[in-house]
Amino acid sequence: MKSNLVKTACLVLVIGLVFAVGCSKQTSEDVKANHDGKLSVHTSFYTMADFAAKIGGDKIKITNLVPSGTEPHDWEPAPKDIASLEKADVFIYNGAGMEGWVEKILGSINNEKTTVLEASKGLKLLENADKDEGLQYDPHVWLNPALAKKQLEAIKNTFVSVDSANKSYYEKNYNEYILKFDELDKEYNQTVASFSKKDLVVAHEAFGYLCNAYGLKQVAIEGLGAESEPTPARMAEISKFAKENEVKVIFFEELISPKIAETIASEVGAATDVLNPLEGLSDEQVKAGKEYLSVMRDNLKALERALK
Amino acid sequence: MLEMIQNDFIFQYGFMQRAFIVGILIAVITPCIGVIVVLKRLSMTGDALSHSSLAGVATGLVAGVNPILGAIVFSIAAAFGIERIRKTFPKYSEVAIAIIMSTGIGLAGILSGFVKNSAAFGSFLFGSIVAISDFELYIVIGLSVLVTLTVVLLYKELFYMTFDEEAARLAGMPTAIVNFIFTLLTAITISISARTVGTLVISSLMVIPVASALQVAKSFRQTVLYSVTFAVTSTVLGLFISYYAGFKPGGTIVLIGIIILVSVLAYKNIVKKALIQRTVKVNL
Amino acid sequence: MKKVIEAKHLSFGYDNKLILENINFSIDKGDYLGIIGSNGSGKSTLIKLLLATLKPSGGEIKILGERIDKFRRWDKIGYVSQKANSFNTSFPATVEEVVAANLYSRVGLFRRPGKEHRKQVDNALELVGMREYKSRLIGELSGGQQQRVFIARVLVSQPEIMFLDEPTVGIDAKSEEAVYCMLARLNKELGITIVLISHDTSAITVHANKIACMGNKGLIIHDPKEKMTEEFITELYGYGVNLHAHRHDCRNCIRKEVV
Repeated sequence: MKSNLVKTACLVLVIGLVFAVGCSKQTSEDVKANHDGKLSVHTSFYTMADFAAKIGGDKIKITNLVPSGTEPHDWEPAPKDIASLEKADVFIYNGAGMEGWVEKILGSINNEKTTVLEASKGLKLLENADKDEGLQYDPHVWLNPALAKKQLEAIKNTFVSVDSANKSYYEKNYNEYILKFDELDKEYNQTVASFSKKDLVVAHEAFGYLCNAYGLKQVAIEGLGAESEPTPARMAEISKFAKENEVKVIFFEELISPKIAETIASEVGAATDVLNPLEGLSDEQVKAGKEYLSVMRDNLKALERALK
Repeated sequence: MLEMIQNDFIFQYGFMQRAFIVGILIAVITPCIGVIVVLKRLSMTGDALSHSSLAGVATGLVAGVNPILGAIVFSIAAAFGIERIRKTFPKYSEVAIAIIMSTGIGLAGILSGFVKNSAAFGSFLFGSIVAISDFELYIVIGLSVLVTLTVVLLYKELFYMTFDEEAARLAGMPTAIVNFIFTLLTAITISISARTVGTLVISSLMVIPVASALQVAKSFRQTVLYSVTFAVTSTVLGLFISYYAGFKPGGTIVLIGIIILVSVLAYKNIVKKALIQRTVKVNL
Repeated sequence: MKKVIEAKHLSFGYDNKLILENINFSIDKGDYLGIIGSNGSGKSTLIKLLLATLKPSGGEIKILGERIDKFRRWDKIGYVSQKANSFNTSFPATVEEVVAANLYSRVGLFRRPGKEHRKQVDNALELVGMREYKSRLIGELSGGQQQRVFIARVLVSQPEIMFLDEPTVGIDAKSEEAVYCMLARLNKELGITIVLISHDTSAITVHANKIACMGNKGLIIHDPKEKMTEEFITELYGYGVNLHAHRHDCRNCIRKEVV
C-alpha cells in the first residue's frame, strides 16, 4: 500500500516537473540576453512595448512583461519578472489603473537605477461611469490616436533624458511616427463620417477614448476591468438595446471569452466580430507584422462593416 | 411591480430560456450525485474535481488536444485519485480531497502560464448560466439523461454501497464496477457542468441542497427527492431574482440555497420546541 | 454431514508478523460455532479471511465446497459486525431501506424491489421482532435495536452461513440476551450455520455445539460439554475467569422477543 502511494506521489511530481521544465525555457531567454550597450527597456503590456519600439528602434532592448496573448488586467508577475525589472534602465507602463499589479511591484523592487514612466500621466482621463468597478478612470487612452501621440512623446522624452547620446535618433523616429498617427486619425475621421449608426456593442468598456474622439457611442456588456459573470438583467438590457437600435454586430475581444458576446448575438440575430483594444497581440499576429497602426486600421474596417 | 414584470417578461430572451433549461437539468442531476458524495463524507469533491479539470483545460491547450477532453480526462484521473488515496487513509477522506485539490490548483497554476492564447483558456475557464451555447445545451441534456438513467437503474446499488460498502460486496454486488461507474459519472458531470454554469454553482449544488434535505428527510429516498426539490427551487428562484433585481446569477442561486438551509433549520427548531411544549403540557 | 467451511494449513500475517499459523478446521452444515480467545488472538482476522476481505498468506479456504477465490455466491453468506458502535448513525435510511438493500441478489441489477421483496423484508424484521420499526430512521434506534436490524438485513437474503463478530458490543445485558436467543433459534429452526465471535463464554457454552479457542496463532475446536472448564479458559486468556452462571433459557426469551 505504502509503495503505491509513493508511486502515485512520484508520478504527480514528475508530471509537474516535466511541464515546468519543458515550458520555462522560452521565457528565461529574455532575461539572459545581454544588452550590447543597448538601453534595457521593460514595458508592461503590448502597446507600451510597440510604442517604445517605434521610438527606440535598434537602440533599445525591450522586455515585455505581460506575455503575448494574455489579458493585462488580471495578469500576475512571476518572481522572475520582478527580478528582471530590477535590472532595467527604463520601465514603461500605461497607468491610470490599467496594470493593477504595477504599484505592488514598484513598491517591492529597488528601482533607484530604473527610470519609471507612467505613459498616461498628464493626459485628460475619462472618469469611470461605473464606480463599483473600483477603477476611477478609464485607462484605455491609447485607442485615441491623438492621445497615443502624447504617449509616444512621453516615451521619447524619457529615452532622451536617460540616453541623451542618441537624442537625434529618438527625435527622428518620433517625428516620423507622429505623421503616421496623424494619417490614421484622418482616415478614422473620414470613414466615421460615412457611418449611418453610431452605437457599438462591445464586450468590455475599453473604447471610451476611441468613441469620444470620433463621436461614437459604446455600450459595453461588462465594465472596464477584466471579465466576470454579467447579470441577466444587464444582458437583457443589452439585448433590448441591440434589437431597438438594429445593431448588426456584437464586438468581442480576442483576449476575453467570446461566450457572452455570442450569447447576445444569437439572442438578437446579430453577427460577432473582433474589435481589438490592443491590450495584447498573439504571437501569430506579431509574426504577421501586426502592430498598433495596422490593428487600428483593422478595427476601423470592422467598425465600418458594423455601422455603415 | 406586476406591470414591470409584464413589460420585462423574463422568458422573452432565448438566453434566459436556456438558463432555465440547463439550470433545472443541472439542479436535478447534481444533488443526485451530491447525496452520495456527501454521505461518503467527500463534500469537497466538486471543488477538487473542477480545479483539476482546469489543469486539464490548460494541458489540452498546451499539448494541442481538445481542452474539453483534457478537462474530462483530468477530472476522471482526479476522481480515481481521490478513491485511491481514500483507501490509503480510510478514516480521513478529506485528506484525499485536499491532496487532489492542491495538486489540481498547483498544476492549473503552472500550466496556465504556458498557455499562449489566454483567450482560449478564458473561454474554457469561464462558465456562466446566462451564457449557454447550443453545443453546451445539447451536451447538458445528454449528460442529464445519462446521469438520471444511471441513478435510477443503480439506485439500490448506490444506496447500499454508500451505507455499507463491505456488506454490499458480501451481498453479491459488483461493488468495484458500480464504484467505477459512479466515480466516472461524477467526474464527467463536474467537469462539464463546471465549464457550463461555473464552478461555484456546481460545487454548491452538490452539497447545500443535500444538507437541507438531511435535516428533514425521513428516509434515503426522501433525502434524494428533497435534495432535488431544494436544488431546483434555489436555481429557479435564483434566476428569477437575479434577473429582476440585477444580481449575478451564480451567487444568487447559491445564496438562495443557503436561505433554504437556514429556513429548514429554523423550522426544525420551532417544531421541536412546539413538540416539547406540548409534551410538557400533556404531562402536566 | 456436509462441510460448509473448510480451512487447510491457513496462515496469515501483516508485515512479516504472523497472526495465524497453519490452521486446520471445518464447520458442518447446521453447526453453531462459538469463537473465543483473548484480544489480538486473530478472531476477527479469521472471519475476514473467511469473508475474503483479507487474502491468506498461505493455505486454502473452501466455502460451500468451493475455493474462496472462485466463490461467487456471497448472498448465501451473512455477516454482522460490531456495527452498533461504528456505523454512521446520521445516515438517512429507514430500517426497511437498510434491510431491503440486502435483497440485492434476489432483485437483480437495474431492477427495483417489488411487493414480494417487501414481504420478505417484513418477514425478516418479524424474525428479529423489529417489524413495527420499519419506517423509522436507523439512527433513531437504540444500539440493541440497530443490531437486530443488521441481523434482519442478513436474514432477508436467507443465508446458509452467518458470521457474527461480537454482535453485542455496546448493547445492554438484556438486549444481548435477546440477540443470543434469537441466534439460537435461527440455528435450530432455520438450520442456519452460525459462526459467532464473543467474549461471553457462558452464552457460547450454552448455545454453541462447537467452540473454537484461539490463541498463540492457532485454533483448537472443542465440544463445549467436555472442556469448557475454568482451567481451560484461564489458560486461554492468560488470567483467571469465573464462569458466571447466568441463565440461558431460550424457550422463554424467544417468546418474549417475538411478541
